[in-house]
Amino acid sequence: MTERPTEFELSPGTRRQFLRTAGITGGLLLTGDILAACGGDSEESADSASETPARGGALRVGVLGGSSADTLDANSGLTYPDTARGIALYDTLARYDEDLNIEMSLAESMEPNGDASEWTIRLKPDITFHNGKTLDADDVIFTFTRIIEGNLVGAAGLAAVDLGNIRKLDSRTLRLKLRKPFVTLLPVSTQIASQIVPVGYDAKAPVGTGPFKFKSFTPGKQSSFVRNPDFRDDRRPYLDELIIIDFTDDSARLNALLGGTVDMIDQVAPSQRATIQGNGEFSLSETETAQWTPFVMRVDAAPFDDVQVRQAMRLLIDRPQMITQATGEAATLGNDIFGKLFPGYDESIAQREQDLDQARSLLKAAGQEDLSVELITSPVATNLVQAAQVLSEQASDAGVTIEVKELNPTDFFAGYTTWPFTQDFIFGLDYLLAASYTQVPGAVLGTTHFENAKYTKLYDEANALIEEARRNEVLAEMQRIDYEQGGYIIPYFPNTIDAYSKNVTGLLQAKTGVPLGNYRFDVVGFRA
Amino acid sequence: MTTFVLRRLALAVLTLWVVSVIIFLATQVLPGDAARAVLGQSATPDRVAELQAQLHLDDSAVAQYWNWLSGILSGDPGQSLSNQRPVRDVIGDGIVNSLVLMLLAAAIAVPVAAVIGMVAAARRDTRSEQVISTSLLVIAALPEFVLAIGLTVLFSTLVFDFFPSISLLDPGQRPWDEPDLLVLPVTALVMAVVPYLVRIMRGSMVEALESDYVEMATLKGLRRSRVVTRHALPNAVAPSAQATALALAYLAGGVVVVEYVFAYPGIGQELVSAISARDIPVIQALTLLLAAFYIAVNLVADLITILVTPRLRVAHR
Repeated sequence: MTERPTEFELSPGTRRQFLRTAGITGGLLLTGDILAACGGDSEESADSASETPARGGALRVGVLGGSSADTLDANSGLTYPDTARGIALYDTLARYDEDLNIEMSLAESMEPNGDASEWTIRLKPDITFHNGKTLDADDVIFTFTRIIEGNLVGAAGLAAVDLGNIRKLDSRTLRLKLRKPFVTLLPVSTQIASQIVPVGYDAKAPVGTGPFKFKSFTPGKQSSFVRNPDFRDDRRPYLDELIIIDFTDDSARLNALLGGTVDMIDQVAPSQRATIQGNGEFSLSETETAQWTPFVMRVDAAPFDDVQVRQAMRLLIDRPQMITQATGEAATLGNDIFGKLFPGYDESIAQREQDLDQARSLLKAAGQEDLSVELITSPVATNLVQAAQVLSEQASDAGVTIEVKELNPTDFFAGYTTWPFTQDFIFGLDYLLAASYTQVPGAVLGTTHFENAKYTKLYDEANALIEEARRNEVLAEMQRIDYEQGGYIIPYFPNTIDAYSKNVTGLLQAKTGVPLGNYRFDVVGFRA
Repeated sequence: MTTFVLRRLALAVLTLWVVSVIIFLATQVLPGDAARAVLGQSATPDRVAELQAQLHLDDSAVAQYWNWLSGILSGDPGQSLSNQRPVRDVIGDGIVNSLVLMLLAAAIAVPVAAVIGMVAAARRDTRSEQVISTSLLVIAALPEFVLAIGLTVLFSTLVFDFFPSISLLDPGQRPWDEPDLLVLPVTALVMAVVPYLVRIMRGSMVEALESDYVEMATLKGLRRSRVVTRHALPNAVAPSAQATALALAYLAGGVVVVEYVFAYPGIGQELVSAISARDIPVIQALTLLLAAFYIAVNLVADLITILVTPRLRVAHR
């Protein structure tokens, strides 16, 4: 799943948009330190997820990001608040559990044929939409048609679907005959861009199968939802009401939690951890994730079109130091390959470490000893700007001059996919799905412009392999190409940090990088 | 007097029009546009083109401006480009919320500053006045967000727990329903503007107190307090009205920072969001409002000056 900051909004920190004079940031950071230093001491208690929540209550959640472009449309959501609202109102055919295994959600089964060129989807029985309509195959067909014909956010993921070749086998079963083998259809159907809506859906009166029903919505401000009494799991949701509030500012969000205005917040900045830990009324939930915030080198433009220069850049980074300085130890080590934690990630590839000598000799061989480049950064994700600054310092040890230029999110996205040297942020995705978004022809997040005939061939080959073991062999080859020739520098995978009042319990810890336990508010509630 | 007012009103309308043109041109110069801002990371060229056509962003700048202007003149500020809601709905709540903040701040700041100014003037060149002056100077030197955060730390999160740390109103809620939420933002605004007002008031009070007629009144044996309130004060009002108006108009800008720190849903926040989203109809509507506010405040100041200065009243007849 991909994420867009809002204006603002945006993001593992759609934060820090405009009005970010150095002074404001300085003032807030200073406050954070003061608050942390002065707050009392208290042990952070263990997870509260073991207790079954009580029925009832209204949960107020502060989510980072959002703007006047917020939407409740099931298939157009881009930002964190959009994602949170979508998961409350709608469902997908399948979804990831906490440990990144795919489990069925609306679908009872999704079976490919021998080479994944045909998929048979069977829906669970007796699931109703908020308007009383029973979920059936027509709704799935309607949803796919809506996404593909409307060129909505999920259209790229469904490119293999041939709308003219969908057969309804019975009221709950449909068979899709794809344009080409596409085993990745299963991960695609977990993405919120493919949430299922009923025939005749109108985004202005949103109706879904999710645990909560629409009550009110003000874009850029907040939404409120009420419990769906006909939800397919009759124990859930525990809450009576769910209110999701947009926050574009880190500090205001933290204050909202500390002051009791909200019960939970997502994406706590590492610098704010101490403040929350120092306060006995709140808990932190930190999870290692598969989300990635890479540096991006365009492989089709100088100087990074020379693979030696790209390899040199990857070698000059001191990854552990970057994790310490840029993220405050809130990240796990990365090896320039995405898809970590998902099945198929090749752990056997040696972990890259800093090697300044090798970096310098590669640069010399490429004739770029005094390399000087501009790095475009923007506070569109957690610690992105800090990471850029750390890279700039580390690079000077190898004789590389990196000039960091910070843009505000709107300007950053105005040139997205054109910057020669920049950064990006992508949710934790299965390797093939991430590859489809980034490194094959038609990639919608193709910021590196990486297109390699062999890689594309392997990608198509992998997509036709339904046996995981054989597929993983092909993935390993693809990852080797990434490791040696790719345009990404992935020094770390940031953790997700959430905070909540001790009254709240049930929060999951999701490795996808989607905050607040994949925004699964159906399992969350107040303590009895 | 009437011609004066009418002429000023005509000039005001002209100023507003010039402001709207300048702001519109400024938004055209920014990179990106509302379509890209809405689509963000998912902005493929065809999606951008589609949305641009939908939002009429591919029309010429003149056509876009004319569309907007004709809408305004017929009373319809148009639709937000970010979410297609009517601009009226998008900014309606914000206007009320910000006005409440500004009016409260002004209503408190002016009397407070007047009293402090009078005291400072009456006790000029004494130790206590120096203390007042220096403290006010320190407060004036601090940027608003520092004041705002300082107030939060002092009264909300760290030292005391009297007030909420952010002033988040639910949409549709009115500020007077939750007076608690207003205390800290209003205090921050008052503190931001009082030092300047005090200096102005003190200055004109001192001038009045050192004038001949006050000396005459004192020599005649009138009580000090009567001299100050009945003879000095009215004459101090006129010179300070203009400057006070400018300082109060400054509130319209200061409100942006304060709203941001307290997450208060006013037009300050709305304007900042709209600029980032390149939401031109909303930007235009809000800037016109702020410009109109400035102009109105100045007009009122001029009128007060005339009312209080009979000489001017006669001159214009």
